[in-house]
Amino acid sequence: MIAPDTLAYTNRLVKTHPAEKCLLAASMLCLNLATPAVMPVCCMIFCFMCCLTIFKARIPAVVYAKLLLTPLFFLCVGAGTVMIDLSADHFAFISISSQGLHTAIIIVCRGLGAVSCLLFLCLTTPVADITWLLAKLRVPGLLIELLDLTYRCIFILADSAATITTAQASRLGYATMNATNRSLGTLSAACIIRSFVNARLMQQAFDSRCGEGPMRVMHTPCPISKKNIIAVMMASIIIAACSFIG
Amino acid sequence: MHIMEGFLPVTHAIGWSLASAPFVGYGLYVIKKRIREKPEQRMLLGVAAAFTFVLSALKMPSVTGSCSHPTGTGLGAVLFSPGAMAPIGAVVLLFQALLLAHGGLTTLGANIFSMAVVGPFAATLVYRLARGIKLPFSFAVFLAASLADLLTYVTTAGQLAFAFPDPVGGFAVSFAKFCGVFAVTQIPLAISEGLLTVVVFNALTRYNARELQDMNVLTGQEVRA
Repeated sequence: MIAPDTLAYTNRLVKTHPAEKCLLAASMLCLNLATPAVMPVCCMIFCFMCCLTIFKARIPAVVYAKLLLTPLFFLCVGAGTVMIDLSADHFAFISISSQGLHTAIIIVCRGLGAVSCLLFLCLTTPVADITWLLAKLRVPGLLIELLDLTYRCIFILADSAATITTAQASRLGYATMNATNRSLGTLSAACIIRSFVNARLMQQAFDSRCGEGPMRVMHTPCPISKKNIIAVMMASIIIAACSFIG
Repeated sequence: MHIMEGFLPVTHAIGWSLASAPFVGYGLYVIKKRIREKPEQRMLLGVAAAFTFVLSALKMPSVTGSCSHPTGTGLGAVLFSPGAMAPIGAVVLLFQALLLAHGGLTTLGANIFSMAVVGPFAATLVYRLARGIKLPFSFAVFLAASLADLLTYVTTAGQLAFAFPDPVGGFAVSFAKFCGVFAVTQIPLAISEGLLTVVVFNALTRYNARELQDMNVLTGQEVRA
């Protein structure tokens, strides 16, 4: 239903320890944001993470490109806004300064590099693994519980929302704009009520099993591979070195 | 409207994360207290976050013809308290980044600040003010939802302008530029979201008034209105 989530469980890197993948994504993200030589280093990070996601994890390139579209749109609008210079002193009211152009290029490179890191993480690591890792990192238990609960509820609710939408659409519920507004409103209201009822039922199920303490989620452990950790460190060192040379 | 991953410079990303951390912390404290008093509310918060996520995945028609999605901050803030919306919003934004690659991890702090702190607090304030001067319930909900949406977008524009001030005109010119660019999509969106929220509340009060009263979401007076 949610494409990245399905891929996160079916890709070739799912058996790799989540800490290794998070370490790689985090170190690349930090290098991407901190590097002084933005253009070469960010392009390198983008290519590296792209290849890793598409060839190593075997994520379909079409899906990857589609996911890249939304951030690209924001990037174009944002960088375009920074690039355009509005002032009455120039010959033309709207102009492009070389400084603005430079900032825009830096923004685009940084953005692309960072998005490739995010896509790597969200396409190769299931959310359950990430919350497990967060719990290991001593994030407050309440927040972890909220994350686990939300993750579970999202799919139940999205399923009923999809069913209701199909039912509404088959009765021309989205034919005109007024009808769309009315349909969306009743859909949202129905979802709220369903959520409340679900919450009550889940609480009853929880209570009937004496569930007062923290919720425990089973995690299948996979071994940390020293080879991967060393590879991640090597890649980070190479890119860090490039950022000093470049 | 989420700021994408990697758009903000490091200092700004850290700064906004630090700025929104106390709100999330306070929200967690409020939630913890509420759960201790009423343990049955624990599930409610989880489904509230899931609901906000699903709502934000809905496509909403906008006046200009483009499709956009509701933020749900106004609805959440009126249904739940604005304090509790900060952690709920944080969870929703994290899932949007991890499941949809929408928004980002380094810009999470900035997005939390605009969507889960400014939006809900503005919605609650507007709602209380509007009810205080005896405006009808539907109109108060409309104002709360659409102004929360507008303020969220103005905050985002401010964050972007603060990060990338205009080389000549500085913050003010850059702010005006970002506001102008985003106004094209965001003003119609705010109006649509306001209307949608009114329809949601009408549907809720018409068909499910008793359930809502059972769950202490609406008071008797609001149900009659």
